[in-house]
Amino acid sequence: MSTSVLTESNSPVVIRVALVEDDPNFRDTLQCALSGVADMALVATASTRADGLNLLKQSAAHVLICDLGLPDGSGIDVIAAAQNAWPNCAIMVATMFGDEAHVVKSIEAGAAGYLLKDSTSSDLIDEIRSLHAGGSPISPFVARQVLRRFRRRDGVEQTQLLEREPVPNAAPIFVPTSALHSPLSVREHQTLDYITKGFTMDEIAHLQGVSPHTVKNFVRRIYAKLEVNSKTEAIFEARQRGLLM
Amino acid sequence: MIHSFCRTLLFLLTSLLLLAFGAVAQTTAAHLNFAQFAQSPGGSFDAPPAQLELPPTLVWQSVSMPHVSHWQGTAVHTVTTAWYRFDLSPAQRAQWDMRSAQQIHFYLVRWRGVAQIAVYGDSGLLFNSRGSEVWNGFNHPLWLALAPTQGATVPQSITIRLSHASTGGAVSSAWVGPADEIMWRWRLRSWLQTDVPYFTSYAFLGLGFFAAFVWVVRRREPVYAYFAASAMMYWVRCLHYHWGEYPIAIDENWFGWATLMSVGWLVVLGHHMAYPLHRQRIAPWVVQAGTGMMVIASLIMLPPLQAYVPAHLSVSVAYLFIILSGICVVSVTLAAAWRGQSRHAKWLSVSSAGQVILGMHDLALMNWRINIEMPFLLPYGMIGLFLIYLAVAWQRYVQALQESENAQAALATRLQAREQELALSYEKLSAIERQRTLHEERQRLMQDMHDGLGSSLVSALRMVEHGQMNDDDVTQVLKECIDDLKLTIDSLEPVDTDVLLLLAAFRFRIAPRLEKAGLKLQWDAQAVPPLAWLSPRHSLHILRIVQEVFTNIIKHASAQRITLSTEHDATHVRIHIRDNGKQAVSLENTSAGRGVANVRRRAHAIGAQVQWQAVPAGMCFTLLLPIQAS
Repeated sequence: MSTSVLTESNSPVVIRVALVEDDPNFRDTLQCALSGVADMALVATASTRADGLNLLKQSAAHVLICDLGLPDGSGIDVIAAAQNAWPNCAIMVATMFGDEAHVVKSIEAGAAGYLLKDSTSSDLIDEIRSLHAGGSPISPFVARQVLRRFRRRDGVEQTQLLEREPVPNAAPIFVPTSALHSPLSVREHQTLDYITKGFTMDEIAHLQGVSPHTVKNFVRRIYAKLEVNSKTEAIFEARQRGLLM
Repeated sequence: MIHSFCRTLLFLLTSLLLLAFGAVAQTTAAHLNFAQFAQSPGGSFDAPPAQLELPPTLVWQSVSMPHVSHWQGTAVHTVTTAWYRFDLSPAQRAQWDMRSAQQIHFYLVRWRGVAQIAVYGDSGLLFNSRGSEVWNGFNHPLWLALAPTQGATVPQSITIRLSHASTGGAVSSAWVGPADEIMWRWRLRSWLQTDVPYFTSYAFLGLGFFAAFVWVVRRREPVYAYFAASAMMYWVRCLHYHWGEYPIAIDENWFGWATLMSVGWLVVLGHHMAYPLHRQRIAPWVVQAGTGMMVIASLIMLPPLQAYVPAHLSVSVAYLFIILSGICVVSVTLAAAWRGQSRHAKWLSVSSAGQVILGMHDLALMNWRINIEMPFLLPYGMIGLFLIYLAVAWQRYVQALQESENAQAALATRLQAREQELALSYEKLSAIERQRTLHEERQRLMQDMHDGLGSSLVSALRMVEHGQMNDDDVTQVLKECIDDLKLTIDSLEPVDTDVLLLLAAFRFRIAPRLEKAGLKLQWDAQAVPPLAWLSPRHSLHILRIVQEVFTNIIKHASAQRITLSTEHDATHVRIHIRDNGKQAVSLENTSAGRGVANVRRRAHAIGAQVQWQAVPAGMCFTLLLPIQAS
């Protein structure tokens, strides 16, 4: 997917942006910012949850920006619906503070990034472009929370592992259990760890010997895994309850 | 319990009596109330001859039975022989002819004395007593078949030879007739005279062992030991009534001494047991004196000393002594019981008085003053006494169970009440705690809004009002306000003791501003130990301190580079912020000076220390955080 997106971003094809937001000021700001660049266009807007869900019946946008606090319900529903309706669309949650609670909830619903509402026009454009190119932003608090989610999953998987029969004559392999059972790769894990210690994307790229864009791609993958992870966890919990009943 | 026992006994006796009347209705048995009696001086306790050998010079006389034969001897150890002959009338024997001769039995209610007995049917020996002349089975009624062998006929007369010592001897009336008519009489008497003392003595002995085991673990209550000793004494005494004619394992004299002394000790032990019931209405010396006297009596009566005293004399004197001391004890306890309130004490003293009367009866019986067909009554009296003790023990046991149940119930109620109290006070405390936390949080946020956001907005407002601000300034002020707000929001995120995460969050927020100011930030953060005391309040102070330092550098230091590094030792975490700008300027500038004061205040509030240090080409600020909360 990222390859095709990259080709698109380099081509003169316009990035189609859809917005679900009830604050007219932010709508104006975004409209204004997007009209200033040639490769982006605001193709659809909605100001309520209902309108947002209706909006998804139209042809898919490349990027959907969605606010959480809509007058008739939560933007989370719109994000989840968009994930199904527009599977190739990159979804961003528009947030005032980028606080961990809102962002992680959105990522679990299918968002790939977030947009700080007080960003300057150029920052807004940069963020949308980066997201469309397959990168995702992350803050230390979000990174810490994501790490914690996967660690919790690890605990569950380890107990499941103990119930299995031991494999006879298996050669002992000394791999850290977190790497063995966590769906995060060692690289991804390391990336999150660096972020919680205050390193920037550029610094991490330098430390890992990759390009900054690759690091942003790691984050996108991590978000995708978190979404899958949260769904597995929900199923697992349901099964646990079913077993208990 | 006592009542039900009495009722059962009464029912048993009534049934036996009714049975007896049924038998009497067509009786062919004869009660032999009269006998021919003769005495001959001399004789021996040796085994009798198989054929009746009557001395030639006997003078027979008719006597009514029972009858006592008095000693005719002159020297102490000589024997007198008494002869009793029951003649069976032809009419009676004719009645029995219709039945088998083997059915006809002779039942002698009692014979007694330091004596031996032989019974002849016509001239053939039917029975002779065994054992010694003293332990001869005197308390066992005699049951003999008159024609036990095949073809034998019922004799015309029955002759009894009683050889007795100086104490005299006696023979009771007798019954003769078919077994089905008179056997119940023999059975009932055996049951009353020998069986009842036999099984009650063992029953009480069992209870005595139980009491002894109780006493082993409850030494404070000697009453259990007294009960155990009494049961033992009663058992010894009852050997006297049920032992029979079989040889005794110990020396006869010692056996006699033991059975005799046991009665006295029963009196003394009874007194000891009753003493606590009277609750100090009896002087302790009374009990002690009784015990002392009994010890002396026991010593005087020791068999080795008896060689010098005639046996019958010493025994009688001993019984008399026991009865006299019993009377003393009983009068004292009766008086005490009537002064006191204890129901048990009254029962016990009345029962003790009864014992004394029964004892006197038995003594009279021994000395031929009463019809010898009467049974010895003391064992029955003792049964009553034991039952009273059992009633007391039963009541105590039931009461103890009741008390323990009540105590448990009371304890449970108290525990429940206490639990409720605790739950209530816990609820109150946690409500207070919650209230306090909320209050603190509110205070913290209020303070922060007041010092930061609020004052920035107000001063911006004043400047806009006075037209002192252009649009860029306004934008700048508003941006700073939003940054402030973001730091406040960040301080609310739980950082879980990780001060590095806090610094990371700060960097994340400040990065755009630094970039805009053209400052490079070098990040040398090393892992530091967790700070357990790091609460949202502390987080905000740390964020504000770092913010203030950064703002100062951005605004006043004219630096190109900032380096943030962390390090730690055993006690502290150090955060260094170093710039390559102008030295000293930060402290002299008025607004910076106010900022420095703020930093110091905040550091003080969280128990941290700050310092500014001039370094080659710049300043170095250090925030010193303790690892353990002070």
